[in-house]
Amino acid sequence: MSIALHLLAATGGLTGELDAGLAKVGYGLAAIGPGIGIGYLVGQSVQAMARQPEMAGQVRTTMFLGIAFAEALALIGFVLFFL
Amino acid sequence: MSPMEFAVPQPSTERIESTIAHDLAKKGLIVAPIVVIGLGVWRGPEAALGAVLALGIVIVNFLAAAWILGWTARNAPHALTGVALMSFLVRLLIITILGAGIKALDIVDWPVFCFTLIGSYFVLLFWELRSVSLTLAYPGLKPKPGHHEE
Repeated sequence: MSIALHLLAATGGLTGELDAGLAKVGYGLAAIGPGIGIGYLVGQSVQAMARQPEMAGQVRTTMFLGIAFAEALALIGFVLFFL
Repeated sequence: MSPMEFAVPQPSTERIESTIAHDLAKKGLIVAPIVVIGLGVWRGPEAALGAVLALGIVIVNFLAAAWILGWTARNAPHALTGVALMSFLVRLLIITILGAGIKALDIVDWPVFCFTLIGSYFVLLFWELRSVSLTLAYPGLKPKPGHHEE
């Protein structure tokens, strides 16, 4: 794989384009991961609130903090994309 | 109440998310002068501006997430999953556009902006997590105003 990349870079001068493309793919993956995490987290929280409505306050507290932590991964992807 | 009747517990209508986000914002405002002045002295005014913008983005992002999720949890809990995902995407899109704009304008020290964004996000989140876990573990730790134990 790396040999193919080197050949591409040597023959076509594509290093910059490859880097930009890989950065975009990385950013996309960094956004998909938290998306899956948030979907699962909120789904489970809704289920917990439906089962025990009296615990909704605690569930929402932990859900909000969980969402914030999942979003941090997307922010790391954003930073790496632009760096 | 007759033996056949039972009370159906109602979902919480408290503004939990907003309370957490306001607490986070307060902590951010406490940290902001130290970070901005420190980075400004170390790397110059562009770094200070980068730190201000990064902290602003982090705090506004928390407040926006809290407002959207809190409103949905109180008024339309059945739509919570969809709203949470859409708000995540929209906020990420806005942050990306802002980041691209700030980078294109070239008015800030870019590495400082990036590392302040990530660093302040994690520091504020862990700080808040500590307070929240203490409050959940010891709910009677902070008495409400006007509450007196007999």
